[in-house]
Amino acid sequence: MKHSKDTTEDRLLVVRCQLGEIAAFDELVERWHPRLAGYVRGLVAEPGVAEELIQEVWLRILRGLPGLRDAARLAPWMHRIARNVVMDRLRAVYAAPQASDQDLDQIEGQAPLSSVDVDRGALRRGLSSLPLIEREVLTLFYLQELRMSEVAEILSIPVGTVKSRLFRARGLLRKALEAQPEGVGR
Amino acid sequence: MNPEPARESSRKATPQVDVQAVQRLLRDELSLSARLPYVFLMQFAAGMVIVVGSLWWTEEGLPLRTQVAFAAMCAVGLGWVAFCIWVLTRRRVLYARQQIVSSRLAMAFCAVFTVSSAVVGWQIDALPGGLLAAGCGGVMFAAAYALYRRAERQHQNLLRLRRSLEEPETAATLAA
Repeated sequence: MKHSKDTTEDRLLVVRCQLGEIAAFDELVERWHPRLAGYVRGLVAEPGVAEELIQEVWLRILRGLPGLRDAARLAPWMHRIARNVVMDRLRAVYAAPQASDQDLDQIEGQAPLSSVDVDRGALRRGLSSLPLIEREVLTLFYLQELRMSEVAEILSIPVGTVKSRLFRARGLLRKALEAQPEGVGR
Repeated sequence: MNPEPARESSRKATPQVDVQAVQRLLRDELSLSARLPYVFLMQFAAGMVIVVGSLWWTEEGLPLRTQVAFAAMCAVGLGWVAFCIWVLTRRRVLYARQQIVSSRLAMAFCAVFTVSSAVVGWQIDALPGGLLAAGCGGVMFAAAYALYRRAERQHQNLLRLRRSLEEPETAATLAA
């Protein structure tokens, strides 16, 4: 119910922005900047680069907003822009795509992330040690609190793949947190 | 050496882009004054291309160097028009109200240009270049008017959508 109300508010906000109301853009930023910034900062390790990319994300949102037809899809649309900005940056930095070299067969019993009692600093360190693919799916689903279908839309993959990536990412994060001496059990 | 303290201090040292900073950034990007120079430049460049092109087309016995100069001026003018269109559709896009203001300005410019060209063409013994320029100005006016009508229609659609979303019953229906 809350989600539907948020979607209606987003739709109204998008229409007001498309009309060109400056106050609506202020509200849009107030409403979405913390989440988008958190998402980008979660994906990019270097703080200076992350801040630069966040501004680029907002500029692209500004340029694309008049063309947004389905205002109800604002959340996945904005996250997809943020992801594209980060990916463009990574493509420029790395010649070859980075892939996880973890042995998936070794991942043992999975439990929900919420069951792992960790402090935020340890969680951030744990996330930053994960490969990008796992880090972004965890960030979108748990930290950005997006629905599975929205995560799938942002990443342009089927929902089933999101589930399997989440499954694998939780295992990797658990291992990363357990490897930190004071990261778990606080 | 443990890299974590260095990373943490780097995180603290880098100022984070906060809500106010983004709002300032977007306000600068959104202002009409950031767009109008491109609207004016596009109209001026289009007018220049039409005037020079009309003279080139209608004047007889022009020396080669003059023709080359006219061709260069037309190419430069068309380049500026293309650049302005790119800026206004890709970089500093026009929102609904800005589209209305810009298309009205374009209509006013085209009307003045067409009338001036026609008067000049008529006064100087029915100068063919002036009359041709007036004809092209008329076509530009028609294009500007079509853009204005489209912008008005889009604006009205958005206003209707906004009203329907602001009505409590509609909002409740959508929320349910």
